[in-house]
Amino acid sequence: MNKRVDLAACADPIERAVHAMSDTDWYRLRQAARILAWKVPSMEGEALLFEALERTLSGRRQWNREAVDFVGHLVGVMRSVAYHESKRCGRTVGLTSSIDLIAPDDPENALAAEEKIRRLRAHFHERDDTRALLVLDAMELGCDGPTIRAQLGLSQSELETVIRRVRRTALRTFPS
Amino acid sequence: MSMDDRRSSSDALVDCLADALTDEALEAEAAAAGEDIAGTAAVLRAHFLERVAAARSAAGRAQEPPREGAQTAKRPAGDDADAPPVIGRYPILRRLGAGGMGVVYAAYDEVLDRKVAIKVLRPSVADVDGRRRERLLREAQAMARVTHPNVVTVHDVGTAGAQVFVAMEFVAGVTVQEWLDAEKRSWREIAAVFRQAADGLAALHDAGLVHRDVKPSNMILGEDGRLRVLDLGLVGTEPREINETLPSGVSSSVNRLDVPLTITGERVGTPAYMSREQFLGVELTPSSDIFSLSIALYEALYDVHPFMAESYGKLQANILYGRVREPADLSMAPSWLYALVLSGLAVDPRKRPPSMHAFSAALAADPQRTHRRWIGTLGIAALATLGGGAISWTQLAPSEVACDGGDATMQALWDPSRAAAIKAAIVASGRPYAGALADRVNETLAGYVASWAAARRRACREYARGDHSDALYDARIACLDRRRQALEETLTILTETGAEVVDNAGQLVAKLPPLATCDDLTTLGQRRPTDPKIAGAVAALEGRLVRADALAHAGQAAQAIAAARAVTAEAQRLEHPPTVAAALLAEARASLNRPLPRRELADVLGRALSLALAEGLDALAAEAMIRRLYVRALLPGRSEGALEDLPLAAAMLERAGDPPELRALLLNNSGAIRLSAGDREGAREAFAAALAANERLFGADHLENAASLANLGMLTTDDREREALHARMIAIYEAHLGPEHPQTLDSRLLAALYTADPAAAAAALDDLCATFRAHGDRELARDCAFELGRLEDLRGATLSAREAFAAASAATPATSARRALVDAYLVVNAAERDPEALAAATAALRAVAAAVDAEHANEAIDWWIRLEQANRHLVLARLLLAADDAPATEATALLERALTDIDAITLEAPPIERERLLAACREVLAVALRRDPQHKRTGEVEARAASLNAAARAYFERWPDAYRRRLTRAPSPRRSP
Repeated sequence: MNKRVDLAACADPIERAVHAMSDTDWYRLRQAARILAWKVPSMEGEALLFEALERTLSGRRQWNREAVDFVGHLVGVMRSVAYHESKRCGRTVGLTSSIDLIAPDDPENALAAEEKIRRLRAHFHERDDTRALLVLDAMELGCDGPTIRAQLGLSQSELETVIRRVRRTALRTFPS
Repeated sequence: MSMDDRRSSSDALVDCLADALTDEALEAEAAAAGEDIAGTAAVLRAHFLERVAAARSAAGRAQEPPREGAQTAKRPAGDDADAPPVIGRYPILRRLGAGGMGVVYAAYDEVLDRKVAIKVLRPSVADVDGRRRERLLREAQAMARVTHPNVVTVHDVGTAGAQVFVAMEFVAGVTVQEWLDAEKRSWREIAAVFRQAADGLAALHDAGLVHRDVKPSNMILGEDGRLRVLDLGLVGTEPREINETLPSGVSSSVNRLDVPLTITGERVGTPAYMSREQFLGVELTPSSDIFSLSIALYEALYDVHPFMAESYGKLQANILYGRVREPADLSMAPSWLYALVLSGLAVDPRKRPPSMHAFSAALAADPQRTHRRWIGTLGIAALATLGGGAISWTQLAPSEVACDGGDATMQALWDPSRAAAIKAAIVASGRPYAGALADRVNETLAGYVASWAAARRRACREYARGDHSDALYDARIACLDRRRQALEETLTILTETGAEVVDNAGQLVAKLPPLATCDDLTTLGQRRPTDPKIAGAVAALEGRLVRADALAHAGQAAQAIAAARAVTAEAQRLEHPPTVAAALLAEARASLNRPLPRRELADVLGRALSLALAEGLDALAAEAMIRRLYVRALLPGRSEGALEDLPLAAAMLERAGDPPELRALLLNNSGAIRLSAGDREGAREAFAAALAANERLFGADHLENAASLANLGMLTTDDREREALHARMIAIYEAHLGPEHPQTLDSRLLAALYTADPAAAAAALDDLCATFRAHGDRELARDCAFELGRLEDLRGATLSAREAFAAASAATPATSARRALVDAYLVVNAAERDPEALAAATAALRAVAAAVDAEHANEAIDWWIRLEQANRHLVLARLLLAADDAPATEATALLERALTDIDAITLEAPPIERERLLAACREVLAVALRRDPQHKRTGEVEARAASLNAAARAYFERWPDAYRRRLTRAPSPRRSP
């Protein structure tokens, strides 16, 4: 298949998806970008979001429209970009160097996120917020919502309350 | 392993936190943060649509036939596929890369027919009012005013839709980061490249700009070898008004430089290279760029970040508090350059180099190069002036240099697992004392490791404070580095061959070169520079010599000599005389521990001495001279000459700065030479001084002092003082090696032999012999039994003597010269006279005595050989006298010869040993004279015999209890005395 045709073909669905997104969707994307950018301390959340879009537009990341909506796709691409940028061993070239803020062959990138999490925990420790700490623990294990709720005996609204509290603290403490 | 498996827990948590919330929750979040969801959405949507439109346009254009002459038609697919067809008036060739700040394309300037790089700055959602866009425009325009070979040329600045773009010089090359990553660069190459960077940044500063994002990936090295400073996106103006006009070619419509620009309070830059001021968000001055460039330079030189920490927060804290990490290997760059980098990293901007121009000048002012260039024409004072410029900020280095590079070095060498490995290797020898010895060895090593790290820290801090010069610091670090190498070799030998070198393990660690020498700034000699072409090879050879020394200390003399000789050969091939001299000296040091012919050894040392003198290597020459005098003194008839040359060695030592370890060596060897020349009192004084010097150098309880105490004890005439010295010697051996180590037991044997009271000496020996037998130490048990037998024989304790000699005989090889003497003693102490045994023992001992005489016919004989020969003659005479039919004439001659020999070594031989033998000889000679048919029983002969008896008796009567049997027994002409 010809790449040029691909490009021409994919722009319209994306455009349609962009038009279809609600204000809250945009805000959701922005907030997700801000948190995911923790992994790459050099990168602002918005830069991460635009990088996800660039990759989608260039076809480097294909949007599987059948499986996920555009917001979910962009969050997934941002997650992947943040992960790879934080683990990258090479150096970016020349003028595109704003990403490699910390020597990429050292663990600083990953540690930047760890440091933020450490401070986040300290915040909840100080306030003796056991529930938030337990949720953080569960998140570190990669648990999904239902599992976390089942393990911690929380209702959906209780879990959401805790997550909101954690996110609010996180975003206030580490604005990106 | 899947990617998910490799994800860290922090990754998972961040991902969870980023997961979608309900709309209500998001709205609450926005409300709590005071953010406008609709506004945010509008800006983002607009930018997204703009990008989508650009992509669609690119896709459509890509399908059109290429325009004639436009290189855009040749754009490759892949990453370039999303590049817009044109930005401003520039057709895009391909995408070069993208980052958080924007995307960079290669483009074509159709007007001026040249290739350019276009950077399109990303819009920001936060830039609701467009201020950020304005700022970027102004900053890019500011860059365009700068024309300098080391700054990338900005051709144009403009806008394309909502985006700001900058068209600049297209540079084919690699970033400095890539250049550094490609291969190991010398400090000279690095300094030269960074000087270009400093020049470029200085030009920016002259234009009133601060770069604010100086880092290796923002500097590109063109294929023409010229460096250009890049990444204009972060460049900001200094907080002052700029009114210069723009160069032609820059769109006047966006010329807003007349508006004062201030970015105070906004944190921009790259955290790893950001200055303290950037982290604090205060106004940035050119000094901030000096700081960032110094971080990059430090990292390039030492391959480690100066503020490296295990977390981002700690990195930031290290920068804020100026906690500079000390490089593990300072030798990667000269100290003047280290000082310059440290000055650039000063916490207080006022303490950094005053300008980037000054920093650049300092980078170019390599004092060593100046040194070399002017050495032929200028005096030392002039050199100091010339070199001074480069280090003028040494005293301005950060106040809190961590100086922990030495700790990291030692941590890499020494940890509990290494100690365990050494213990396992030593214990594998199966020696009964191995466990205790291993613990003591590890304790000594741990102490050395701690002391080395402390010395390294001290050197670093004193240098950072500006307490001493670059040259002294270099010498100090080189001194410590040689000691680190010695430690490393010692650890390797112990780990790999601990079982083989177990008996010498204690000595090996004790022989680690003293660290105090490296703190003695007055005696540290400056190492001379090596031709850079062979510097690496020379350094490798020096490392091998360190190993040769360690092998020698481990008792592996043959391997040590072979290693040193191999280095000599290679150094000769390299035509590097200093290393040849050092290798010859190392060979000689190793040879001192084995019976190498002394003339050959003196020759090796002579060659080392000549080369060292020719090369002006004062310390090496002094050591060669000191050791050569010692070897010469042991050559027949040469002790007087060696004695006369001692002042020469002392003068050479002074010239070398009187290093304490060589001073101790000179004093010790001076004692040996004086003793060899018969000057016992002079020797005693020299040994006492050597002990004091060693105590100053190593401390009172160091293993090295034990040998000095032994030497001193042997020369001390006061019995109590000798006992005290030997007790101290034994205590040191016990502390370092354990009570059951052969060296400790040997020291106890020495102390017993030098115990004046024969009864006490016999009791001590009896006890020791039992210990040696219990340990299965055949050699020590044999020597002990022999000495005990002799003492008991002299005391008239025939039965005890017989038992001891029987034990000694059983442990002495039949081929040994000593065996004939032992067996002869057994025969003369036999309960019954056995003519056949007498004849056999006589023949055997006579043959050995003749062989020894023949071997030393043409040279002066060492005192201990004379003493042993006198002993043989005594026992031979006793065998002859014990044989009924033997003429006494031969016995008389033998005894007269023995007395002559003993007399000849009066000044050298230990008095206790000599007096005992003398008394025995006199007593037997008296018997022989009375029986000698050639000496008619004249009054004269009788008088001499009586005199000899009286003299012998006078000696025995000094310890009446010990010699009770001897004193109560009348001498019999027919019995063996």
